[in-house]
Amino acid sequence: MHITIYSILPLTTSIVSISLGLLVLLNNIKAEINRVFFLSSLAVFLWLFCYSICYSTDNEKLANILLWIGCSAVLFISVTYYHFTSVLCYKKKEKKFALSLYYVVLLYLPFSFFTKYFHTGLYKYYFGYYSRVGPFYIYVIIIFMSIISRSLLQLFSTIKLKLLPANQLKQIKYIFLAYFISFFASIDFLPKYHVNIYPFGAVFFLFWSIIISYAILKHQLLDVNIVIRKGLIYSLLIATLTIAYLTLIITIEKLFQNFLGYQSFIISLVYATIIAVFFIPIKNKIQHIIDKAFYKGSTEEIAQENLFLRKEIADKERLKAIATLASGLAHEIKNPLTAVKTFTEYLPSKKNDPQFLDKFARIVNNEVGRIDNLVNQLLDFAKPAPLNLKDTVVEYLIEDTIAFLNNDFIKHNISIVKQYNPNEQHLLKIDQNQFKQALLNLFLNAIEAMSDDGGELIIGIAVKTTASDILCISIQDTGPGIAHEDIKHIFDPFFSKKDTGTGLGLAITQGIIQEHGGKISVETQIGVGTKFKVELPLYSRS
Amino acid sequence: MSKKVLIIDDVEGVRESLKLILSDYYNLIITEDAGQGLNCVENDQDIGLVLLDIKMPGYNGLEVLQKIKNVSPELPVIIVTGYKSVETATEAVRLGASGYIVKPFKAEEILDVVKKKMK
Ligand SMILES: [Mg+2]
Repeated sequence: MHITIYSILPLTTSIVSISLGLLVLLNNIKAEINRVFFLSSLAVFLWLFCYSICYSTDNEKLANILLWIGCSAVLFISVTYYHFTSVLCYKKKEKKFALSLYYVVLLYLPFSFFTKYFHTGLYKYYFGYYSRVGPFYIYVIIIFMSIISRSLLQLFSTIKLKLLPANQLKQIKYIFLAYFISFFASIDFLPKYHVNIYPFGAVFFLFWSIIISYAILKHQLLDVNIVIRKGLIYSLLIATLTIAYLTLIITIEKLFQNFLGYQSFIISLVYATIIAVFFIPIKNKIQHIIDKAFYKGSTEEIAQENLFLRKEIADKERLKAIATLASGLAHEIKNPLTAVKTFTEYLPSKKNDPQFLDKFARIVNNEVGRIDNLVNQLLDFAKPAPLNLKDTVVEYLIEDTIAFLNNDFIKHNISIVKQYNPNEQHLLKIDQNQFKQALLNLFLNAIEAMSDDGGELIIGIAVKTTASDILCISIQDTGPGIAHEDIKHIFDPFFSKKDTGTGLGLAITQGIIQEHGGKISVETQIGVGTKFKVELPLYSRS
Repeated sequence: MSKKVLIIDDVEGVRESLKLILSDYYNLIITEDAGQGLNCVENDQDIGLVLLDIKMPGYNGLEVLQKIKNVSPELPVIIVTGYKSVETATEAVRLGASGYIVKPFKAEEILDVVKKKMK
């Protein structure tokens, strides 16, 4: 077997495709969308790889089997496309249908292998062996085309009806473009019906890979990390250069054979010269240009860009939280407004009714207080004051906060269990007032949870040593626990199960902890209690 | 003896407002807890109309509406809400709400809708 020029295009495209697929898969092996994309790229790889060998081999038996495998892979491409777009557009029903299509294709395989209805053998063209198909193969093509059209339609309607957030729509536009272009690879069906043209459909899959890669690079498609993205662009670059290089080599080899006869020494020399003169410098040059275009250069800058991206995501989350907050506030503020409005409406006609006046004084005062409270908390949330960081012994701060709430603990029959040594001193660099506010909210939350039957408030402090020392503060109540469906909302502003609260306490606490570079998490068990865990970088301990 | 109006709202000021507006004309059952409200619907045959808050801690008013309609399909339910959103309004009507009032409301509006829709 000797690689011919006709094999280069499918071979390169197959390698580009599987590399892209592997990259996407390894970047997030747990994400369904990434796994399905890998399946697509695997099918593309199988198809093109098998065919590329058929263009270079003289072994008819081998070609026959490879053509069958390649041909089957083509059907899988359509099904994985459909599967991919269904997952991408969150279409659950269509995804189920896509999954059942896998079984249909699997059932088809033995038929196409053992009967002559679909595959009857092969043609020998100037470019190599190619499938020859039977009378029923046309139905396979029709099904193939319908499935792909359906996927494209799915993407199209999602874009047209704006069914997803703007950033996702942008990604879907690229996917649509890539998948639409790859559809032109259907040109490769023609030689199966004895049309004597070179099946150059792989070109469209090269475009497919390039567009998907571009979307990954510029629009975080499939959530591929930026450092890995840099790797992606280099491998694409090297793949492209390799095609050019191989084409050049083979052309030169042909020229030498025609004019000089086969002289291996000269050929090797020419290869070496080509590599030295063109390949490596060109590769470096292009790499440099790409670095400039995408990253301005150094690794520090990449890290910087990573940081920037993360901040951008955090900002978006924050904006989303503020939007929720604003709509929650609008809703919440209408309640006190209702009361004030109704009571003032009745004031003229009831100004001599002492009972009414009593109620008026109480209710209106309460409700105005409620508005005041809402606005204050909104301000707290929207504009966190700059942190005033001071070395603080966390044990003292906790003692302070407990003392502050002592009456409430007694009133609700709550006993404090300290699972730490009060004589130890762990030092944190924190804003004392804000941090105290965060603790206070957590304690109030625990008191609220146990306000009916009393219970225990268990406070723990522990040091976790990983890359650096992390201080874990745990605050656990023995209340009723939080329902499963609520747990993911408890840090959302205005999410409250209480009659008295505004639902901002935990949102504010989370904000403060995050400002300090820490994180807060929650575990809960119905009937047992709830445990909040605050983790912060430890400054020092004694 | 005329039928009673059931008021379900988690905020005292709103409950007191509705009480102020309606108590001269109707018998009222007032509760801050949606579960308790549902109990009343199940056990009290004299309830002729429900004024239901849509946002309460632990409850989605639309779910409560659905439950009321399961228990007593003929009972008119008026949704009382903080803001007018087309989706919520459509959904409420689909689930069988008889009316939709936005806070802060006028006394007249409440009296009007109760008078018209009372079973
Ligand atoms: Mg409410």
